[in-house]
Parts: sequence; structure tokens; C-alpha cells
Amino acid sequence: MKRLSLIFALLAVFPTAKVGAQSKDQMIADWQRAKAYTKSYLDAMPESGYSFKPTPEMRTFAAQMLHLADANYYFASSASAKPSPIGQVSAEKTFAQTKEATTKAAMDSYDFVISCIQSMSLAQFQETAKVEGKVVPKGIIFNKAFEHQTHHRGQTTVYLRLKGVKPPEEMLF
Amino acid sequence: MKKLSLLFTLLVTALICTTARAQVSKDQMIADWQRAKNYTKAYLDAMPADGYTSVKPTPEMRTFAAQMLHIADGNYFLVGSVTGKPGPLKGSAEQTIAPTKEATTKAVMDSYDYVINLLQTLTPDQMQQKGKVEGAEITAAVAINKAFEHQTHHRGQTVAYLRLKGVTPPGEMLF
Repeated sequence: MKRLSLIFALLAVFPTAKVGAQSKDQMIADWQRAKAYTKSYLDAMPESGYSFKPTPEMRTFAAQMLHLADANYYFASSASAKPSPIGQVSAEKTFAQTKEATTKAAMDSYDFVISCIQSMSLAQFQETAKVEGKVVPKGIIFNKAFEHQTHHRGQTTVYLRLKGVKPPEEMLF
Repeated sequence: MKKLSLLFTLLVTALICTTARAQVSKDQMIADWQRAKNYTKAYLDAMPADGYTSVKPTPEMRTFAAQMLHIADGNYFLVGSVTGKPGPLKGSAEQTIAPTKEATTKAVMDSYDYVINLLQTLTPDQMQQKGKVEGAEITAAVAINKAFEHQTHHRGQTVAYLRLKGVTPPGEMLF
């Protein structure tokens, strides 16, 4: 009876129906792919295009990429409780918007995300942290960051076209 | 002894399950897809009817309607190929659906419903079953995540389409 209840307890602790999608390895692989994907966009835009914006209200190409870096730092730092290596400043507001500086800043932000994921245990992904005023499981916070960078990189596809550059192929795999 | 080995097997199985797949529940995936559906709907609503075919930032690019219908195709193709449960369309939405605001909105919303309904029926085992798409062999869960990334990427592109049409894009709906 004791053993039986132990089994039940185990089943309750590990509800297989609740585990849906991702392994930590898959998350890291996705972020490494996303990093290479964004790098191909950064490479494709000529230096002169970094200050380009489709309309006056929009961000420049460099600002889009630095905004993506800011969000990567913000989300990964919130989830891992590790301080952002660039401190409390915004990359978008303080970094030089050159091709070289923007590329380095964006790539560094992906490296930070990947190192945060690597440092966390599976149990920690299920813990919650506060982000954007909401209490969210830490694993989900990384997914929000992933969606955010996909959204902003996606926008810059149009920037490349408007500058006469053929965008890199979609790197979904 | 039998009970002990059963216990051991259970323990190992449970541990393997938790190490192999960790972070996101099916409920969370369904919630994300419902949010994504609303998010895309906000874009479809924001673009005036004439912008569906008139806005195309450069001659090489898709129109606004084509971007949205391509999202529908991606949802059906990526998820349908891997799960072996294809969507209701015979051909490509981008090539067969009228690029009007009404028809495009309906086709795109239907494709989100397809993913959401399918997610609701997939068992945990089926979520981990592998299938082929684009030459890769991936699980249903990963395929659904690829489709999610695909729609985020193309919706993202249409932010600039809305701006070029003089429309302020709906706020980012990450939560």
C-alpha cells in the first residue's frame, strides 16, 4: 500500500500529459539557429542601410536589431536572475548604430540568452519570474524572447528589400 | 521484488520524460496559438480593404493578402505534413483564395483554428511522434513550434506594410 501510494505520488509529480514540446537541447539549438539567422540579416544589409527606415515613424534597421538585443537581455536576465552584461542601459539608445557595433551587440545578446539557458536546471524553467508586470514560468519567458526576436527580424525583411537587397532565405530548420 | 522493479521502471520512465521534454505544456501551446490568432486578426482588421492587394513594398515582395495567405499555407503545411492530419484546403491558400479582406481574413483564421483544434486532440504520445517536412524529421510538437515561428516572421513583415499604408500597427501582443 505504501509502495502503491508512492507510485501515485510519482505519477502526480511527473504528469506526462503536461509536458508538451521542448527539451533544453531543442531550446539551445533554436537559439543558435536564431543567432545565425539574424547574423545573416546583419551581414546582408550594407553599412549605409543601417540608418534606413521605411517610414519616419519606424525604427532604423540598426535600431530594430538593437531593440531585439535589448529584449533578449531583458527577458533572459529576468528569467535567469543573472544581471545583463550591458547593465541597465538600452543598447538601442546608447550604442553606435554602425554595422560593426550593431552586429556585435546583437550577437552578444544571443550568446547571453544561450548561456542563461545552459545555466538553468529543468526545475528552474518551471519556476516563475516577473516580466512585463506578469508572473510567468521562466521557460515561457525564453519563448517570449524568441517570439520577439522573430517578430523584429521579420520586419527587417522589408527593410532589406527596400534597400534592393535580397533577404537571406528563411532559416526555419 | 516485482513491485520494486515496477517502481524502479516508473521512476526511470518519469525521469526520462522530464529530462527529455521539459518546459511547455500543451495548454500553454494552445493559449499561445489563440493569442497568435487574435494578434494576426488585429493586423487583418487594421489594414484597409484596398491595402490587401495594393501594398507590396517592392515588386519582388508578396502583397499584404499574399503574406497572410502564406501564413495560412505554412500553418497547414508544417503541421499537416508532420502529423499526417492535413487541413481542409485542396491547394495553396495563397494561390486559390481571393485576396480580398473578407476571404483572406476567413482563410487565415481558419488555419489557426485548424492548429488549435488539432492541438486539442493530440495525445502526449502523438505530440512526440515524428514526421517529415522540408526534408527534416521532427516531432509534431516541434513542427507546431516551427509553424508558430513562421507566422510570427510573416506577420512581422506586415508591420512595415501597415506603416507604408499610413496605418499605425496594433501593439505587440506578446502576452
